[in-house]
Amino acid sequence: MRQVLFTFVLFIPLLPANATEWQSVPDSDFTFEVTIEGVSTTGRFGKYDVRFNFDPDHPDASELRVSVDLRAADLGDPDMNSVLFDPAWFDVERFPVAVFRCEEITSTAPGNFVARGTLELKGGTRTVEVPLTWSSDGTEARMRGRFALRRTDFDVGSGEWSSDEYIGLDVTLAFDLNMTEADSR
Amino acid sequence: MLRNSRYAWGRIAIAFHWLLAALIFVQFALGWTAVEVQVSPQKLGLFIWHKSVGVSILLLVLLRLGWRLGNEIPAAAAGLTVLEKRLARAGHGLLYLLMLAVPLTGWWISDTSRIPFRLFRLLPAPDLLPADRAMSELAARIHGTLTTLLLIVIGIHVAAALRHHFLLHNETLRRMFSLRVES
Repeated sequence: MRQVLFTFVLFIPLLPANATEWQSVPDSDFTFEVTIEGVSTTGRFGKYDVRFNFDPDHPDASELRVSVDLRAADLGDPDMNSVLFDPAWFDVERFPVAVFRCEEITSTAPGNFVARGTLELKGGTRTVEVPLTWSSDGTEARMRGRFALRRTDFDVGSGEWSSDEYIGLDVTLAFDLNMTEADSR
Repeated sequence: MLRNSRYAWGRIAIAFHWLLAALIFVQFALGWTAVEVQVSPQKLGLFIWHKSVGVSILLLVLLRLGWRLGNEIPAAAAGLTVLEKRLARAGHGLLYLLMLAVPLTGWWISDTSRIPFRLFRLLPAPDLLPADRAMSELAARIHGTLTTLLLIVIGIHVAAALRHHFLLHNETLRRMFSLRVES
């Protein structure tokens, strides 16, 4: 009990009074783009959870956590998906979930932010910066953004796949998320 | 002599024949290896070459058919029965049909699957049909069956050519090497 209270007390100063806890709606768009044989191909993340405790006036006090269930990633073809889940690629048996933990959000322009944090993917952790836009009417919100990763930084497409001969090294992640207040659901 | 005559194949027809024979041989090897190899960059590479060679074969067969239509067909060797001539004509017709149908069904698999492909890794292939798993599996079955059929017909074609040369002692095989051009 004391521990719970302690945690609670610790967190209070971090959360400004008018911060709202937002959560992604499942029907949003969360995709990854990769070039296969020089042709851009888009896959979808079918299952993810985005939690955003956000006060636009104090973005630096926000908390953002994104987790993506890689077992629900979909390139639109069962053969390609089975390769995607393979140890050389996502290795979903060992690393089913990728997590982004935001450490710092800064506002670059009205409605525009950069979220800096760590991305944990396939057992590796790296710092990434994610530019995003945010708009909200109070009960619903939209969070959009895209950023590029180098897949080999996370050992995705390892060994014989680690050259860009057939499958490009740069992967663009794009999200267009509808968010609602977490409490209201 | 580039054009055919009443008695002999011209150099163009002979070149078409042996070029296609070589490409079809390479194509069987590429296709079988590509299917057998486990998923890897090599497998992707083999399929890209298989598809590229397939498109080349299709174009060459069309050119060859055009050339054939604009040329005289040398007469069959003397001493063949009407039935033998009919069988030869049917066999050659079937060869042409399969040389068109096998690459076309191959294209059908590629076009209805989701794996992008550039001809010889240079030219993006036109995407004519929507990706459709059931369609691409059906196309793959037809492609496989027609390939087996093509292999059988090629076997008969080779056996018939050898029969002409070694048993009937006529010029049918020799004239495809342009070894004996008589007029």
